[in-house]
Amino acid sequence: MKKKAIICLLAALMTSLTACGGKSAPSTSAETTANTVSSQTASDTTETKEESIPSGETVTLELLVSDDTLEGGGMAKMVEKFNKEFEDKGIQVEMNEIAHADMDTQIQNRASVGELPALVRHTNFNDYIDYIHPLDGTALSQEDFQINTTRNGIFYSTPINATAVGMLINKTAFDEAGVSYPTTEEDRWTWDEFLAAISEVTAKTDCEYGMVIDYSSQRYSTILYTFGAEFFDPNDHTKVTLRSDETLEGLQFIMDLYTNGYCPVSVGIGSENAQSTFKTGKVAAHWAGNWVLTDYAENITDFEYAVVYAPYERECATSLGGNYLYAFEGTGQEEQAVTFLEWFYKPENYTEYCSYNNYLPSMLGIDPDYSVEGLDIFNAEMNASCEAPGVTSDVNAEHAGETYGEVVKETLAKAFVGELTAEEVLDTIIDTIIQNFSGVSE
Amino acid sequence: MKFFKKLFINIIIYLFVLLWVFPVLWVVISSFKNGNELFRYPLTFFPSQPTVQNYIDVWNQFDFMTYMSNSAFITIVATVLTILISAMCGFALAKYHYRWLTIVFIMLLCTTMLPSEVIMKPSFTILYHLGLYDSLWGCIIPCIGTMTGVFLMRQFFITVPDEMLDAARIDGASEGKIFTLIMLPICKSQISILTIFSFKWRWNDYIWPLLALRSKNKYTLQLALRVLSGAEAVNWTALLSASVITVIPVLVIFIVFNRQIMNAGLSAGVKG
Repeated sequence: MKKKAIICLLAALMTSLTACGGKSAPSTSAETTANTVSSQTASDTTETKEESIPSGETVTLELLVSDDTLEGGGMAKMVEKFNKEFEDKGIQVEMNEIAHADMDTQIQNRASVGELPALVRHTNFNDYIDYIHPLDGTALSQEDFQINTTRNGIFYSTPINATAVGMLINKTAFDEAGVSYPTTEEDRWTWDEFLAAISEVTAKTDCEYGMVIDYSSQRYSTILYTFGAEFFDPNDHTKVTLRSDETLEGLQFIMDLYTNGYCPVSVGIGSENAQSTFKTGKVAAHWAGNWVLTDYAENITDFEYAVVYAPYERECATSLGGNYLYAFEGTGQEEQAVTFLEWFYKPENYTEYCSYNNYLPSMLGIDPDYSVEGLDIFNAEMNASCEAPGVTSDVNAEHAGETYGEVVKETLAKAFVGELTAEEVLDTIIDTIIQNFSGVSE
Repeated sequence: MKFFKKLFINIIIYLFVLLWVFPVLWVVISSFKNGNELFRYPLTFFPSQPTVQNYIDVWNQFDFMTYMSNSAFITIVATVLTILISAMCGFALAKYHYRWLTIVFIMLLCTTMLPSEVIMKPSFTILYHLGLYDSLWGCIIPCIGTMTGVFLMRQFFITVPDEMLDAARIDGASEGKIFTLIMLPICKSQISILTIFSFKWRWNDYIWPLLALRSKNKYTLQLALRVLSGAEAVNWTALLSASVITVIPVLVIFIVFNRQIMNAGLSAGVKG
């Protein structure tokens, strides 16, 4: 037995050694020859750059991404298309997919030893602007995008896709209860009307809860915006203007959702996942982001769901988020990386990308062909939203490297279990913002 | 009375077994459910329509063979080297009586006071300057010197009578022969224990490969598995089936070497 085990181990060892030896060869041959590629001025067009690359020399750009496989594999398909088109033009892209949670660790670690990838698709770019290759003077322009990525007058990054917050309902349960839901923007519920609707649905169907809200500060903040709350003064970004009757009303409304049994407290304190809970079919509505649609399209077959126009109190609101695609400085491959970016944002390519992954486009004038329903409503929410979420986003960007974390959701979680009042929640949020953002005050 | 006492103890033991085995069973059985059934309420233990599609999907979606062979290479080489180094070091610390060896032993023990997370940054800097960044050897070399292994081996070799070594020396055996032909064979239970531990450590290692590797063709299975958990979504069906595949090698190693531990006599090598 012992001999057999040792023989097996040695055989596996030899196989592994052989496998590893074999694998290292292509990796070495894919090493870049960027330094030998003639440089071009940033204002040159894509076509000019393509022609200028000496024949026979191939630059392989590393594109570091996360979540692409989970979200539909759109980037992998675009990379494949690019590589085919640029096969004889000296540029190839190799996609390197890692976990989203590891992106910052990888980037920071690699930056510390000067091994940054040529391109990155990531939710965070503000922390890396010192390392990013500016895109001013390229065929790309800030005016083409609806999310502001210009910092200190420099256009650093392209917002590759937008995300928005909105309302999804269990359509089967609503239909079974005979409760109507808004199908046009004019029919939007007020929050009171929404509560009445979900109460009726839970009373008449098997649904045990009226709503689940993602355990996320962004989702809660969006509800606050609908009540008219503003985190910062739009005209003076150093002023925290969250302390208001509107905010208190919004906070009390959110807390009442849990204390009155509309929402499960287990989800409110983060011990259960809202998305998984909605998928059981026992919840009437989900206050979520548009990204859940792909998952729901694949994994919900026991009931029908639908995206509806989001409820409001004083304002319509949604919070934008998303990912950014940018090139790093100092890789020796900046010119080729810009070529890829310019190719990627050609309307036909970008439309194709958004269609593959069912993304809301961040580029203006793009009309993707979606394979899931409801994204048009998220698009409408983006257009109808008030100014406050955008102001918060701008101020957060201005404080790159500083963060007040997830204080909204964490403080509210304490309130859901009766540890804090709405006033105390508000005080904590404001104090945390002031402590963590330099130069801001009430 | 004795019967009831035995029954009671057995019931307690089986309850604990159930407590430990149930989550594993749940994962294995859930890996055969489709995405819809995973979250159906009320939950069911057995899948109503068992499917192996999850396994097919995850196998097609990921370059499993590459990740598996990378993990296997790191784990097997690191485990073999760990055992060899630990045994040699443990033997020297136990059987050679020099004063400075005690100092070395104390210094080695001191290294256990520092959590590995604390020394990751300097370790990474050394690794990079040695040219081992983005190399599978970079995941092996920093991990093979483990004080746990050295300590385990030293404590065993201390129990071996010095007379046994003296007898071998009188018979003309060199120190190398004494170590390889006498000492190594009698510590097979310690080798088995260390094999199980080292295999598990290296196979499940996540943080160090994350720092030491950057090319996708060098990623380990654990790094690849993490890709299934996204910022906002988790591919549960793929994650469950991939997790089951990942567990199998560790389970096999445990079964093989567990028998070695059971079979090893405590007085191995000593004539009664």
